[in-house]
Amino acid sequence: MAFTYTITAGDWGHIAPQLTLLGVALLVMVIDTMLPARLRGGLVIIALLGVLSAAASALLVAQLGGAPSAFFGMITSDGLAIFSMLVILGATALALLIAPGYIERQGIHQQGEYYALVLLAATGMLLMSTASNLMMIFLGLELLSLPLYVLCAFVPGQQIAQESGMKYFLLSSFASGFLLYGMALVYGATGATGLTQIHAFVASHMPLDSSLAPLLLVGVVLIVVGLAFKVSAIPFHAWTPDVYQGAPTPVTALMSVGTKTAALVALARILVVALGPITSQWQPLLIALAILTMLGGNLLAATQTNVKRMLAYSSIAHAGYLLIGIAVGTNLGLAAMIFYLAAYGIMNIGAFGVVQVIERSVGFGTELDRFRGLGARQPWLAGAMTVFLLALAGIPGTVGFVAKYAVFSAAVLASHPELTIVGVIASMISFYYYLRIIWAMYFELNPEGDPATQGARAALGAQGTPPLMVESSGQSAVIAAKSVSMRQPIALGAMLSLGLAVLATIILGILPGPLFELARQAVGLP
Amino acid sequence: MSFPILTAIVFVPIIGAAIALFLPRGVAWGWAFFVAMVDLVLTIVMGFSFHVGTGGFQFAESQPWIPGLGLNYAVGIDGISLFLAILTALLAVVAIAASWSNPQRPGTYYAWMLLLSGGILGVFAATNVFLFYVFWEIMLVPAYLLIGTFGGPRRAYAAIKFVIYTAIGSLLMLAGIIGLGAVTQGSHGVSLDIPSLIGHVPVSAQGILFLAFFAAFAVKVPLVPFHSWLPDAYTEAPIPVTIMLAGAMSKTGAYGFLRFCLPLFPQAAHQAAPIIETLAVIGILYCAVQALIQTDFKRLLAYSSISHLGVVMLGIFALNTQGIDGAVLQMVNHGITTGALFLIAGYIEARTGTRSIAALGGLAARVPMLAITFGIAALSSLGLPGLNSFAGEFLALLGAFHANPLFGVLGTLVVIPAAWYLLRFFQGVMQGPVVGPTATPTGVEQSAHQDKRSTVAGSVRDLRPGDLAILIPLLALMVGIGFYPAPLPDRIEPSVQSALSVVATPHPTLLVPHR
Repeated sequence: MAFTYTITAGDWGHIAPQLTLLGVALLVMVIDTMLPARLRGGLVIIALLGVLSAAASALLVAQLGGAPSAFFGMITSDGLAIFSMLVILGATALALLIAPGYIERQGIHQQGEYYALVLLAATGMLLMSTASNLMMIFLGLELLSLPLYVLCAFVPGQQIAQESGMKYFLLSSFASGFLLYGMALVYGATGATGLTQIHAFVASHMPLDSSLAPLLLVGVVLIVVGLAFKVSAIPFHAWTPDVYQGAPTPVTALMSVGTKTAALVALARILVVALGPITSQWQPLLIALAILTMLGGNLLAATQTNVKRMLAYSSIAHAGYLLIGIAVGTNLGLAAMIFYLAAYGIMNIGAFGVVQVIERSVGFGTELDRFRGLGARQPWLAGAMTVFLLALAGIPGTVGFVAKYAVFSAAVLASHPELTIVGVIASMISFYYYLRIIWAMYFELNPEGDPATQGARAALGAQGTPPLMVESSGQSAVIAAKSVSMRQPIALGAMLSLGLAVLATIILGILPGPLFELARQAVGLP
Repeated sequence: MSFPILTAIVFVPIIGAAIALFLPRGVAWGWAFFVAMVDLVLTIVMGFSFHVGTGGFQFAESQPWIPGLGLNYAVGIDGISLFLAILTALLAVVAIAASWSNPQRPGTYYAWMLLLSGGILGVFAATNVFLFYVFWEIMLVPAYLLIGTFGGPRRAYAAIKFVIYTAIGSLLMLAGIIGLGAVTQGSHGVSLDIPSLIGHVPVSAQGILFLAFFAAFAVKVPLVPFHSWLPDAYTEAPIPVTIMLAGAMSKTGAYGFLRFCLPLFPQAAHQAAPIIETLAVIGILYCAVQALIQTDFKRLLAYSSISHLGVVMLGIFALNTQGIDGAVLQMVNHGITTGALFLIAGYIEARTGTRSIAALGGLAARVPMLAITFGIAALSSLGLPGLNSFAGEFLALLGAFHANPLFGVLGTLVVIPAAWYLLRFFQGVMQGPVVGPTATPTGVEQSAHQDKRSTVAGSVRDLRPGDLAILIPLLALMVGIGFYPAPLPDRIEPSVQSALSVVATPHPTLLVPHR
């Protein structure tokens, strides 16, 4: 059988954002070898410029229009792809901005590799969210996962970091296996890996007969399991807290937003777009996942005392709200979901951005105790954290509220009020732990005013950098009391990143109209 | 388009709050006071240009806000909300003026204070249910932070209790709002503007939606048994914050019932009325008794406040003109009186360092001005004819009596304990033998020895001119409204009539079907 394989310039144009990131990643690695060590901090600027030009090329692709798909239907550049690419690139830019000060403090010297790996992971995310073929989705997933395994374990000499990387690698490979198996079964049932072909096949074979249904449905379930792992939906979430806690915080921030975006968009494409005709078959599964994730994530988060871990569970909970958008199976649901993704990206990276300023050594020093009195010590930092936490809790005036409202109302309009009711109950639980952090920052005694702390501070003297590792809980109170009296310096990049995120959280909270219109257009709503 | 005065009224304090965050210690108070004054002037101008005799929304503005979700920015004011808005702006000025000596972090403090008043004003101005919810929640955040950061020793407990009670209520309301949008959506999509919703909520959905809104409003009023956050919050909050909470914010709950539950869900309101009236009566009497046994006078005032708001609820759910007229009047007057009482309680606490009634006595001889102002405010609170609260309370109870004589009679019983606990407070503190600590706790430079001497000498400072200047507007309003209340009902009544016209029309399904 003859197979002609011709690729036009237009095809390459469609993946310009991915190519840009890939190129810059390689460039960063090359320049890294040529720069003297003291100048390597400048690599972040190249990486950022790369992200910006990728975003620009994504917009250019959107402007030029043309055929919506390229590489024989492997890649699409529809509205959903453009919107999710911009979310991922925005998240990457914010995560890059908070990185420099942090990786210096953690003693990471391989800066070039760090930035290159971040860019490669972002490339994978872009690929996954633009893929319109099961194979490309898998390829994107692997391309985003491999750099992340390394990044999770990037902080040298820390057990918790190695645990993080190893855990992510093992469990993620397992999930990839599920995904691939599911894809194979779907291919076996439909004879296609392209999403449009699968859609056409399923639509023409409705109702499913008994020879087809088991194969296809088992395949769909396995695909959902594989992607639910990446989304960190309960019950496939067990890796999330450990991995998020042990990874460098900027990586956690990127992972929590970028990976979720890519995986959710892929899931939406497979379920809502390709398997739309059998919505009634997969919908109960997704509804169950969403309900479990919302309730479980929030309940588990409420029991945490380490803020970084709390935010990890909170990101699980938000995955639940996001899954509503897919579970309702409507275009309005999808629009609400990608709007939520944009909102979540801003506020979650902001919250992790504050955490990384507080964090002493990876995974430690983010106990709730260390936020005590932050409102008096560093009012701007505490103020920024307050804004992000209120947004995550969904208080009006922030973008988080509009996002939640959009998702909930999409559920009610699609006649699934039970999802809204569970979502509202879950939000009540979430109020407790988000406000608990605000409570610690503002209401609890400022340790600087505490005579005991002042004694400890005097003992430390001017040279006193407090001990970094806080292993045993018995020691932690003492050491926290010592170190907490220090003002954490905020690097310029982090300041910029936090400032941008605060502004975006509030401005998009007050005037969300245009962004929501874009989200609607992205999924083809009038 | 004319000058958007309502938008200005709502956003002047909010923008002022954002600026206050950046101001240095020295000028923060001046700025906050200036902003609050500007806002007060704007509301007064609005009050004077308000057309008497029409019931609909005036100064209405409407802009598409999030078209994709069918949400509008829509504000407007009618007779029901007009005086509540003016009251809020006035109390903001009073509260900010009264906190001029607040020591720590003034920028943050005044920013939150202004945001709180902007949020409350937004609640009264919003004519879109979604916008209402936005302001409703915006109000919550600064109140939480103000109580928790600047409050008394149990502030964190009080703040988290407050926020959890109110947030649970609000989130249920949010679910209700989403449901409301879904059941009323027509061919043109979702619209949450109040006028377009009235008469369009199907009877089958009214019960559950009423309950969702009820959750939020009943916590905020508060109706017994949803009240237990209130004594803690009012007691732990610093006095100026308590003035805002008790004077202005507590009206938002009753206002919500009036603005949403009655016109949008009239059938459900009719059915729920006896239950809510029962809760109101229980609250009136229970909290009056609670007030009687309190030893802390700030807590006494907190319980008295719940008790009086029970009368408001009784008036609203009488579902007749007198009752609701009285309720709205009483909301405004309660704000003035409670504000003044908490302010005076704050003055007494600042001068004596205690909130215990038993620890004080015989202050009147040494602080005559404080005693006189306190006396007027106390008489106003217990509803003496000739002062402001009489007319509203009387009308509300009369309305309740017409609706159901039993509730009217039971509600009227409040007068007895109200007189009792207020006089107990007044007599305990101002009259009788001189007892207890009388040193000024603010003058910490005094040594313990001097403290003892000053007790003997009885050198408690009377009201300074500044203190008096803050109190005088409230006292003047008490007397003024007491003697000439007419301007209020003139403006309130047409709006109440138009609200009631929806409620009073019995829905066909409630009638016996024709054969």
